This record gives sequence, structure tokens and C-alpha cells, in this order.
Amino acid sequence: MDLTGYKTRVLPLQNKLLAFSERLLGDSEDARDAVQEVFLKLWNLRQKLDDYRSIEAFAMTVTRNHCLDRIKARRTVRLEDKHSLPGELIDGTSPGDILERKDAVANVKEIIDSLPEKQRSIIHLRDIEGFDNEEIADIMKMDVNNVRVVLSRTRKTVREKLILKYDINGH
Amino acid sequence: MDIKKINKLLEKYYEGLTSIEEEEQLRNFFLSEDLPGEMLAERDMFSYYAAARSKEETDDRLSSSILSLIKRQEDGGRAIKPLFRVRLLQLSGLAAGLAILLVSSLVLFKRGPVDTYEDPRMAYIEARKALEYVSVQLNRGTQPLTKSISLMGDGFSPLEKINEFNDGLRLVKQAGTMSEGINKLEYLNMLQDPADIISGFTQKK
Repeated sequence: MDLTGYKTRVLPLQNKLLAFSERLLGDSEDARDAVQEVFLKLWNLRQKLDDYRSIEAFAMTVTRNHCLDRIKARRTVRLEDKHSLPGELIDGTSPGDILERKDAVANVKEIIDSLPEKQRSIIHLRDIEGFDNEEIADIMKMDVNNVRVVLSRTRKTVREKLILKYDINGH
Repeated sequence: MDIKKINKLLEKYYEGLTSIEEEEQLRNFFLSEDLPGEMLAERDMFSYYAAARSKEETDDRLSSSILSLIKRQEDGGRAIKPLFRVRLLQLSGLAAGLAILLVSSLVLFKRGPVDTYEDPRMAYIEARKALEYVSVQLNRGTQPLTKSISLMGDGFSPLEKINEFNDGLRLVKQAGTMSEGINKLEYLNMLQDPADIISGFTQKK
């Protein structure tokens, strides 16, 4: 792969890599630094990129490994929320309704960010980014069936925690 | 889409058995239609998932900083590959170790001073000369020291006047006993009262 190929096939992955490393690192500045290094790594591996079934999945693997190394280096995971919510929410009827919806969506993000790394990564890759289980198994170095089991457990956990929050807030 | 079908799909979803396409259907359903109240959790979940999905657009600032990072590396600039940097570090450690070994072996195994005199008497004379030179230099060095010590003694002598000061203090202490004497003089006031009585008495008469 040459520079043109890299520009058209690897660089456009930046939002996916950024979102994943932010999910793993819990800090948007850190995620930006990490992603730049990941892109340099991908450039250095450009001769091998075409051998992979999916460049996208491979790039996610490199990102995850790099982020986990970073976490190991700093030993503590910061999960504070420094980035704003994705802007495009469904149109609510009144301004109050929109505000409530934003709160509700923030709840989901908070719950996901509080999950253990494996669950957090799997739900991010599947329900947010839409990777299939085989790709996730590749990225996570896991057995495909195991991916499905963790995915099922995580989806149930998110729902339970969400309902618990509604009960506390008196919905 | 009817609610029965959605419920079935949700069941599959929680078991991790839905396909990507089926999940797409669920997403579309929860994003578009009026929902029964008990599906609040699913509505919020799928809303967040849809909103958080990354778009395939690129950020020019990030792209250009990535490309300049690559360019700097390709130009052989400062962006050295981490692996190479580690190796450089190990090499410099090795070099330092070798240097220490070399220097210490030179110091340890070097032979002591070599005797260049064949005649012992000549050697004795030379050694004596050297020692004498050292002693003269040493004396010259200590001379300023003795001078300054005597000067220091001169500085101390005025301090002996402290004794006189002590004598003075003793005298001042005696002033204390004097004040006691003055207190006693107060008794003279008592003499004054009878004197008044006597004088009054004599006037009446």
C-alpha cells in the first residue's frame, strides 16, 4: 500500500479509532495522542495491511493493544467524561423533552463507561460501531461463541442498570 | 412494525442472537415511533448507540498532523522508531559498562612506581631533597596561620573588661537593699499622727 492508498483507506478510519480509544482511555486528549501513534504504526505496517481480511478490524486491534499498553503504563484508568455527547438526538416534542432525552442518553454512556474493559469494548464494537462477532473475536482475541455470551450478558446488564437509574430518579 | 415482532427481536437481542440487520430494524423502530412506556430503557439505549456511531468523515487537523508525523519519520528526522530507540538505549548501556571495565582494569592492574636509580645513595639524596622541599613549603604555608591566631588573641583582651561590668552589677544590687531601708522610713508617718493629736489637745486648752 502506498501513500495514496493509505490516505483513502486508512485515514478515513480516524473517527472509529478515536471513539474506540476514547472509550478505552476515558479521556479525549489521551485518545487523540494514542490515535496518532496508532496511525504511525499502521503506516509502518502498510505492506501487510492488505493481507488482513478487514483493515478496519485490524486497525481496531492495533488501537486496543496500544490503549491497553497506555493504561498499563499509567496504572490508573480515568473514566471522567471530558467529551460532549453526540449532538444528533432524535427530535423531541418540547425543549424540556429534549433535555430529558439528553439526560437519558447520558445515562447510557455513563453505564457503558463503568463496565469492565472486555464488556465495554464488545458493546462498543457491536452495538455502536456495528462490527460482526467474527471481527470482534479477532479484535478481542476471543472465541466467537464467547463473544456472543459476553455480548448477551452485557446487554442485559446495561438494561438492568438503566432501569435502576429510572427507579432512583422516579420515572 | 408490530409490537409482537419487536418483542421477539428484543428477546433475541438480549441473548446475543440477532443479526446486524435485525439490530438495524430494532434501531429504526426505537428511533422513529411512539413507544409504550415500558420500552423506555430500549429507547434510550438505541438512541445513544445510534448517536455515538462514528461517521466516516475526516478531521483535517488530525489528518494533517498524522501525515506530518509520517513525513517526519520518512525524512529520517526525529521520529525514530521506538524499537530503534530502545536498541540505542541498550547499546549506550553496554558502552558505559565497557568503559567502566576498561578504566577499572587500568587502575587495578597498573604497576606501582618504577625504581629508576641504580645507586641507593643517590636515591636517598634525591628523596631527602624532595621531602625537604615539601617541609619548607609546608612551613611557609602555616606562617600566615600563626599570625592570624595571635591577632585573634588581641581581639579577645578587650573582652576581659566584662569583669568590671560584673563589679558594677554587684553595686547596683546593693541599691536593692537601699530601697528596703526607704520602706522602713515610712514608719515615720506613724509618728505624724500622735503629733496631730497632741497639737489638737494643746489648742483646746
